[in-house]
Amino acid sequence: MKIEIQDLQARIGDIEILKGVNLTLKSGEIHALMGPNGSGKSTLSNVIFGNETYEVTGGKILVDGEDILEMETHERARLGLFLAFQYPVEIPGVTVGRFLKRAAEIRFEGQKDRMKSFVKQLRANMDYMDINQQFINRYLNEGFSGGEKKRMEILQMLMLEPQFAILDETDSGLDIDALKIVAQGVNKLRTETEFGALVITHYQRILDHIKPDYVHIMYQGRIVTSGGGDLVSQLEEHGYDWVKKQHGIQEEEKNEHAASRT
Amino acid sequence: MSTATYNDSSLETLEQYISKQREPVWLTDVRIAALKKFQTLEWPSRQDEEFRRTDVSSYGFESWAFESVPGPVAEVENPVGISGTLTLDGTRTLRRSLAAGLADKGVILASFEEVAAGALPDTVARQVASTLMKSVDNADNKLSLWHYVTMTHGAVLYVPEFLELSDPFVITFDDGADKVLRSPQVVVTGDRGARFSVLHRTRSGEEGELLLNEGIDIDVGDSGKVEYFLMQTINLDSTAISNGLGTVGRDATLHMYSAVFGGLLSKYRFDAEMIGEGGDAYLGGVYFPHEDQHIDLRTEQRHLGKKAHSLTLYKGAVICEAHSVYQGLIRVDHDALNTDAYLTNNNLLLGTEAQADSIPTLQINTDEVRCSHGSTTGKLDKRHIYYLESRGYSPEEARHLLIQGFFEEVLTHYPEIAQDELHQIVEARICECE
Repeated sequence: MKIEIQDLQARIGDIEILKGVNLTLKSGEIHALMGPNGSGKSTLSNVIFGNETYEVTGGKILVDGEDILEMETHERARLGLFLAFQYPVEIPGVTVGRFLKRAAEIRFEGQKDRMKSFVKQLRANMDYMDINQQFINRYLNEGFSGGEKKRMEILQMLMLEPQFAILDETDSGLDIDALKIVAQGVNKLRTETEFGALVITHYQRILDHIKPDYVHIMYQGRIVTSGGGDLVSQLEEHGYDWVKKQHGIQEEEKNEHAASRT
Repeated sequence: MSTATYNDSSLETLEQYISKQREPVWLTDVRIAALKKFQTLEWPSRQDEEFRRTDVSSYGFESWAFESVPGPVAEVENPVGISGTLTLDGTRTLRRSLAAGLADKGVILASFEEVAAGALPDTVARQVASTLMKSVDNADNKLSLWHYVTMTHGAVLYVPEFLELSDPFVITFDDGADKVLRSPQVVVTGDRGARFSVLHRTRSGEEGELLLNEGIDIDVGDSGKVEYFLMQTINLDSTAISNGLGTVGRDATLHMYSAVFGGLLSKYRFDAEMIGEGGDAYLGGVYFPHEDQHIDLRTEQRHLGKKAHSLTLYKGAVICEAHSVYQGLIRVDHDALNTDAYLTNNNLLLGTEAQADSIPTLQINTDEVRCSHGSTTGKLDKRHIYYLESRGYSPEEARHLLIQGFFEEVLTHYPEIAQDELHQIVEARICECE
């Protein structure tokens, strides 16, 4: 799968958040997307998934050459895209087993043999993610700890085997053990399937366990620089101010806000 | 019981009806006690708080005909996985079955006409009489008292002390009649330490206008546990009025589940009275009015004994032009120290014309209690739909799953034999007015 994001612009209400994002992502590649709070990272993931809270005002997102901006969220998911949420919602009354089985049926429509081994696979993946088997019968995310919710996202990813996944700050709030398990899940798909991912994060930590092929830094709604894995350590060393200086970024947001008020 | 038809509920007719009953004195005494209170009250109107949002003034209750025709009860083979069954059609009891050995252990599952014919041993009769009398005392509106005067048919279940049964009893009221009043009564008495469950189904034909005025009285003896599952699915030409009282003894547990789906107008009420120390009550309810249905439910958690715990969870969805009303009250008596009581009501609005009223209330007359209530009314959460869509669910399928899930917290407790039907009813209603 090839995802081409071209000059993507989006806003929420009157506030412009994405101001021309260009990014090309492929299955088989791991991309890291870093940037300070409010730079537009989560907006980008939501816009890729068609969250209607955001309004796309320009640009394109092509998946294997086809523009997906007119597609509904579920149609995008059915292409083989997956989003691991930063804040997974709790769904009362719907068990993990029921929810995932139907999701797998949709993902693997027509592959009857695959569904025959669903339960076996689910149990194996739960073991792999160190999730208690009893969670199969618990309501999705209800009463789960933050770490359990994040692991549940990765379990879903393992079960649905997307061609490309976006992990929206999956590492935030995780202790090191949970972080390793999450990374382990990503690496499993990376080695076993034709899988790519965009790992959105604030911190270098997770990138010690999921080695990115490419790193992008986002600032004020644009990708300001891209590079290889070594960019992570430079950023870690010099901080975001260094990025700002390097790329001559002004604090333009304040001026814009002032302008929008007049 | 008498086989005549009575054409109205004038005082004269009701007195005549009572005098014609061939039944034990204790049962007639219940009717007479109810009639005395009945005479002193007016039919409910919107001036009464309980009926403020549910108008019953156009019913002309007095002019409804009623009868009490007994039928020969056939003993049938008991289904596997069931403790016993009693099936009624109209006022006639058609069939009964009891799992092997239960009769010898002292379990009684009798129709009302058998009770009238003296089927209950004295000790059980005394308990049933006292349960009914208590409900007459508890009744504070004329409709409920009218029920105890008229009691046209019903069932009595008695489970002796320390008997534990894992399979449910199933009591089914079917009715295909038109333009009649029915006053079915169920009395469930669990003796000390008895533990069992009951599925109570109230159904009707697709057509035919019934005025159903039901009474459900449950007495859970000390240390006992009763799980009661009500499932009311009568047609939308009919009206359902239901009044119930559960009495929870010392260290006893009552789980009362109510699924109220039928009736153009349904007025449902259940009071759980915690009389013993350390009692535990759970009231779980689901309702899903559709078309132009009006469902009004009221629960009361009444704490008299100390250290008792009670929890109410009522969940309703409203669609089309339907209207639901839920009133919940936690009442803590001045002696009920260390009460622990909670009340939650959640409503899903699924149509722009649909309406849900939620009125939770606390009335606490002592210190040292933990009580709280919460109520939510709103549409499906867009974030939930987005999440499911991100996993490939279509918006329609996401909506269905979320609504089914909304009810599941209560429905999941229902016995296996009721599950399919309950889910089908919910599923069918989700699809309406889309």
